[in-house]
Amino acid sequence: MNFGEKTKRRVTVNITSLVDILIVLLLFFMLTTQFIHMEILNLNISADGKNTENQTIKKPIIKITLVGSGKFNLNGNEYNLLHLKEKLKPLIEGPDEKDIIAACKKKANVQDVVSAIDYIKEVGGKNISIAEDK
Amino acid sequence: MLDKPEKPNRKEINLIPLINIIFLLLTFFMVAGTIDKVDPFGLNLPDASKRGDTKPPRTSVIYMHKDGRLAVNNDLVTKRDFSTIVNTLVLENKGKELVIKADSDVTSSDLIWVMRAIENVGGSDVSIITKVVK
Repeated sequence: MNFGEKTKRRVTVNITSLVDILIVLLLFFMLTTQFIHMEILNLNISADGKNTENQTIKKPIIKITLVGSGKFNLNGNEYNLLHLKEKLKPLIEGPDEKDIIAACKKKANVQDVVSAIDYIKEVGGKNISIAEDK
Repeated sequence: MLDKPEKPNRKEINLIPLINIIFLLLTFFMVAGTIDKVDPFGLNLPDASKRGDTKPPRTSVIYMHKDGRLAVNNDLVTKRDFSTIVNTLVLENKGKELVIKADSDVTSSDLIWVMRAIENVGGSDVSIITKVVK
């Protein structure tokens, strides 16, 4: 009988199908994933005279007019929105909580509204509502 | 003696480094990105600084394009049908907030119109999605 040496068989796993699946998955994730970091900002609309009868204590109101093109009007003076924080801070400070109304002119866009709310919140402003400036 | 015919030299490409790179890329896209619904139309979201507010919740989204197009949960709607659709949306999402995804160039009057329409059918909690700028 022949008990000669057994020839070693090298088992190879076919990994081509694995590579195919990985490439498909990679393509899927590359096309569907978004890298934009998004957050939400609460919006309140001004009551416009509604429910004012129910308000027993009227809070002082600060009105900012959003003119558009990144500008706002406060107490008759027009400023760039970038200066909103410094102009608003002395008005907000104090023991009384104030209502802030961002009245929007026709030219004002969503970016102006969002920037204004963002800056107001940064200086500690609460009760912010938006309204249309007619 | 006759020479034995030479065996064809079968060269195999080593696929292991390729798989390693694909795995790395796949892990990066899976961890770093987020998969989100595709918007019905291209939107350039308004910029806002990071405020630490909550991330956009999985709720009904109202899309607003700068040319006046409106969409509710990826379905295009006309301004005429908007209040009817929003009414059913508010009833379905009782207690949940509605989220507006508007282009940064949408006029503030259009934004206020949408907010008034939501308010008129009883919706009170409205937020806007912003792009975080670091």
